[in-house]
Amino acid sequence: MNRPGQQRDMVFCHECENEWYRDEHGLMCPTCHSDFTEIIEQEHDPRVERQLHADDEDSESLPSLLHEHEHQHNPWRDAPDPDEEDIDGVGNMWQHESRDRSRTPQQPELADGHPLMQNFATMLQGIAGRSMSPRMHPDDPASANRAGTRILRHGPHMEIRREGPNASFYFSSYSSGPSTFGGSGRQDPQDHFGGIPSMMAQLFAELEPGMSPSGRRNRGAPGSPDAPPMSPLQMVFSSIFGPPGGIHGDAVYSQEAFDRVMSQLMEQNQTGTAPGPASAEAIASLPAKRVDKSMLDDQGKAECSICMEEVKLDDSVTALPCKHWFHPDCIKAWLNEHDTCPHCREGIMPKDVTNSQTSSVRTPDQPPLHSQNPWSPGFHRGSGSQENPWVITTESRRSSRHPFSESRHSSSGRSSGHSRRSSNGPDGGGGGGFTDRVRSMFGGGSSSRH
Amino acid sequence: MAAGGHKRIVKELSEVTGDPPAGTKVRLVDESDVHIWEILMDGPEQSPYSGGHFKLLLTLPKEYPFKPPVLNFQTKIYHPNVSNDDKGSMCLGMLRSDEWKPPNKLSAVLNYARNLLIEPNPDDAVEGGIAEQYKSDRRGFEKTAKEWVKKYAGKS
Repeated sequence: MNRPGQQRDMVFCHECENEWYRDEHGLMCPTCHSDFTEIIEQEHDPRVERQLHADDEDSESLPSLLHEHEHQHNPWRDAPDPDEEDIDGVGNMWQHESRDRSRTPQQPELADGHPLMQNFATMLQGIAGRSMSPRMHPDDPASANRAGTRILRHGPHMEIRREGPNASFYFSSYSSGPSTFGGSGRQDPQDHFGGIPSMMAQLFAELEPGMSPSGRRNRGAPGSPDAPPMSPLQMVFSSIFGPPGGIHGDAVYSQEAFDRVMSQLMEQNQTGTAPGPASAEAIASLPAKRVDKSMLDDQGKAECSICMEEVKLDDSVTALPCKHWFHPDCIKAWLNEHDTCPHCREGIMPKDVTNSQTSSVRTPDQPPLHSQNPWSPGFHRGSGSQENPWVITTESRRSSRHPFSESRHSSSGRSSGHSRRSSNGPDGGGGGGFTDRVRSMFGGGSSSRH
Repeated sequence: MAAGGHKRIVKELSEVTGDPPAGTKVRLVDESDVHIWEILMDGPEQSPYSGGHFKLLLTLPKEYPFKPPVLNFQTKIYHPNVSNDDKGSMCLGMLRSDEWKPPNKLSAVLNYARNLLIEPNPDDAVEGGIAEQYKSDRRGFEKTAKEWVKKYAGKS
């Protein structure tokens, strides 16, 4: 370890990893003017942590150091956890520079370029070295990378085109001189210039979902041996330019993906605030009523407000507890989906049952209300009465303690409510088939929220 | 029930075309399909949309009247309750599936939509940014709304 000036305080910049003598430049970094600096002490040297992997002490110059690492150093080799690797990978790449600079605290080479740019170039080179094998030829005027990615160079102008089924990307840059990327004058500018686009093309090629099955999915399964983790830049780019499907862990990155998640949530909660269906028994027990004169308006007319068909004197209608009345079929179809009066929203279910139903909260692992199988076991077409056309055979009644839990509601509160009621009276079972008939007529409860 | 729904739609259509709500015209996009209505709505005088002519699609689900109609602005409009995308969805209040009830008539739906042009509902907005502006910077909101009317809702 080359530690000049043990007696004089030396200051280390955490931003650009510059080093200088405190009595010459003070505590603020003379290069990047950061005040995130630290006085280096014998027992606590901030550079040491950045040099854990520094084993080639004898390397003389920055370029040779870099090239060595391009080909040999795999910054991911020691870290099984991809999330940690992101940090380690970057750390390792930065470390090469800090070592090199630590030999020359006055930073003569920084005169050639902005330190930030130099660091970035070094970082890119480090990644390029890892991911490019075999190394591409940067001097090809148009080198085709993996399918769909093309790099075009016309003199100082370079383009990267990336086109795929899910996304297209276009990167264009115009450089007036070699110093754009190359921080150090000692490095071959062509190498920088060619290496960066090739590397980026490589990265974007890896964003292709089909080409990178190991990328996103394996993040959840660290430790699988054949799963190279996502490189840090790849993750950044995939975040910016839209990962496959627009969903990245718990986060979404496109309007489309957001809409998908939202509509999914809305479908799941579609009946969240509204009351659920009324029970078949409650519907079947609604009283029939003959239309009398008191139900007609001044002109002697009245209509069912659901189908808007006129009703005539002595027609049979169904009256709800709230006294509103409708065509029997019309109100049945509605109540099978919502336990509310279409006019005043009052429910028809007996109060105690209604309470137990509304208090039963659906949990996410329950299947949606609308996904019931219309002809599930337990229901058989039978000879029923007008009010109860669907009966459950005694056989199926015996075979299932909760005849409704399978086919109607999965919510435990509701199914127990059904079984309780169905055991209460002779009319207890039945009617579920009507629900299903209506449901299948309505296409199984498709979401028409938007 | 499907037949009943169809009958009701035909009945409502004849009512609305015979006596349309103020500032609206209704016709079928395709005479053979009563489930898709084209609405031409004039921007209400007392709103920043005054002078604009808005084209809407009213789509009736096959479950109608048990499920609510779907309303889409085909003319772009700067409004807190209309989604600023290619759908132009207006979905709030009586149009929401959990608030819809069968006795609602389509003429009431059209009146509801038109009243929302006069008085937007920023508390149930689909465009949060526009709602925020409507609440905090009414003049800026009206200015943009008027610009959009000029740009998108002129004579067509």
